[in-house]
Amino acid sequence: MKMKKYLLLLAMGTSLLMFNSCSKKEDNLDEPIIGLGGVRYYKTPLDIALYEMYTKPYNIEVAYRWDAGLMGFTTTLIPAEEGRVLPVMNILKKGWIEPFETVVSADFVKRYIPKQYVLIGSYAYLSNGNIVLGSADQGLTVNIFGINQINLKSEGGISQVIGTVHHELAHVLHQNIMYPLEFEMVSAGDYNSAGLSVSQANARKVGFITGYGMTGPNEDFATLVATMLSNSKEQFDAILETIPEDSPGVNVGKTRLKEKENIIIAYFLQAWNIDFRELQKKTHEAKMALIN
Amino acid sequence: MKKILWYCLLLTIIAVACKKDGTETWYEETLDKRLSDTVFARQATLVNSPYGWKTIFTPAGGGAYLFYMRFRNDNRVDMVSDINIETASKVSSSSYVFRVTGQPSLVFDTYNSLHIISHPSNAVSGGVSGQGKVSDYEFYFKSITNDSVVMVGVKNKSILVLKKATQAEETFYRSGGIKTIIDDASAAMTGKFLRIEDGIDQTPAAIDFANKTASILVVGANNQTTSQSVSFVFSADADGLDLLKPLIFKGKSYSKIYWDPATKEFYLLDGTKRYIFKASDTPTILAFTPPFHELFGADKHKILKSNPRLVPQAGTFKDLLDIDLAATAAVSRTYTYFSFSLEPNTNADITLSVRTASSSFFIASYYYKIVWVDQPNGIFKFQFVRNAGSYNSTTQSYSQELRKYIETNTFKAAYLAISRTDNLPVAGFININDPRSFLMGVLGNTVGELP
Repeated sequence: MKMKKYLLLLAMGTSLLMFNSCSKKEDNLDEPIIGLGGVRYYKTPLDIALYEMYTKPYNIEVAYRWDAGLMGFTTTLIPAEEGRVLPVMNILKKGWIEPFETVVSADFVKRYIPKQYVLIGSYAYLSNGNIVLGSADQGLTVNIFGINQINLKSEGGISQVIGTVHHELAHVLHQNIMYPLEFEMVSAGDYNSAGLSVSQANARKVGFITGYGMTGPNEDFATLVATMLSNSKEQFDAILETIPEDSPGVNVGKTRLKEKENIIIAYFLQAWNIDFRELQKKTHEAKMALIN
Repeated sequence: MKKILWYCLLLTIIAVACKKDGTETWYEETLDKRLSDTVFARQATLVNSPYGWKTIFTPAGGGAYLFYMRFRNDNRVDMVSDINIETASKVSSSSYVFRVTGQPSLVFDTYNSLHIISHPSNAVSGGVSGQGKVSDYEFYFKSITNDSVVMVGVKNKSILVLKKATQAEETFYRSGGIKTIIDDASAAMTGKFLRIEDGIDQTPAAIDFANKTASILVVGANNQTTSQSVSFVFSADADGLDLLKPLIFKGKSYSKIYWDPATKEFYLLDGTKRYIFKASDTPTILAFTPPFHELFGADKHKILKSNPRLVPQAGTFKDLLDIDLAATAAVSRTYTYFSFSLEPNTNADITLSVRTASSSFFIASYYYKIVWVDQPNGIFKFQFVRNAGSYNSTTQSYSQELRKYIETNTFKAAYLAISRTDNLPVAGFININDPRSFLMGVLGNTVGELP
């Protein structure tokens, strides 16, 4: 009797499974994947202009629409003003791309230029009171903050936009061809991982252009290249003149920075066949033209 | 029996083996399809309100702002808001998109007036540096009904309740209706004395568009004045100002100040009775008890003083005083102040003194008697007695217009509702034949203690 009950149950189970199991639904792999390609929106004249002017010739992506994943979940920021996107990109084109195209080559720019530009409306205000003007990731992405606030006609505003790119490009260059070992020997022993909290004046006294440059040889190199390109030769010389002497006739900071400056100029020529002085001159001229 | 069992098992195995299903889903459609459909449906909801949406937006960090928004199918949104005169007077267009950030959410992804509130620069938002006013511009959908959409901020959980706007409202906002109210009201109120008149009392009032506050001054027991100041936001119904907390007037509380575009006046509405905010040419009198004239010479009522730079005069009296100031300046002297001593002495009931200075100062004093015209109401005339010294024509020219003014007119003595940062009481003499004309000063015990 008991056995019969089990049999009945088994039969019921089996028939249920059979009904279920013989439906043969295949996934249709020809269907396009929905949502592929990210956020959907209509392209505006601005999107088309950016594509024509930057994406097509240089393979550059300009991200100006707010995207928390790209721009930050935690910091309070606001999106870019559409009307300021092209003027900011124009500063990059005139003050960065064109001098390199003239002095070096169009191919160089296409190959080594950071490829993604993230434009953010406000600066990032940190809890320690510092303000982030620009940052960069992996030599690929350059984040330019405060584009709604920057005075795009001022030397400071223009330097802020192109300075970040110069800094990043310097990293890209030394990652491809390393600067000579003698560069990091100049200030060897004074590198300091807490360099960010060292004042600019104190950093310069031991041969670094900024406190950030103290944090390591690569940052030392990148900050110095960026500062040299953000200033004319005369302006850079004037910066060196502001460094006070340690004792009569002895100026460690100035001597070391001069030494590094020469190494950088030689590196640009030997490793990249770039006339640094010419590049510096063209960049400065471009900057002056942007102010006027 | 065992055999049957074995057959059954075999059959089961075959049956199960045959099950070659694709990915099994609980829903008819795939997740991606459903997300995409949801986004389309929500966009359609926003786009399909024929005259756009309106809202009083209250960011998580406090405050309230009026927004009018019209979404278009091409990811553009037009905005008007009452954050400042610029955002109120022009329609600005920016982008919006739908992103799937946990849930399908609406992101205002290029700059518009909504972002001002979130701006981390306190100079822009008026909030805390690095935080703005703790607001949002990315929103989840919470609920959708026929005429409203409720959204919640992704980051700070600000609530955004969009309500369908009418055609009239859209026209109002698009044509700079908020700015029109501000302009019309400012034109009506500038240089005037704003008050609510209810037939008995005059209640001084002020409407400040820059700070978005409305205030009234109420006189209570013991002449205590209480200023009520409440923040407002322009009403989403385009008919006035919504008060963020109620204004108590005559024992009733009001949460709205209406605007009448025809008469260009604000008013409170009690049933069908309007209490109008009148912009008057005549100064507002504070109904203190006892009235000013009964306290002439009493404590804190000994001196009425006006330094024209620190207690500026108004209207036609200012024009007259300016002639005296010019006459003083013409002889290279500075007009320091005029004052009335309200303490009677053997020579006078009221003594007028005018002080000027160059290398040394000079005070000319003139004695007057009071001639009451209507004493219970404080109406009187100045009757000239004599000069306190012998003054030549030059020194008399420092006060000739002031003296002519008080000697030829009839005045009402009254406390005036003129608010001062130093909180000193202000009183004055109003010309009863032309109440727009009056002189005023601050009250105290000595000339020296007053500005």
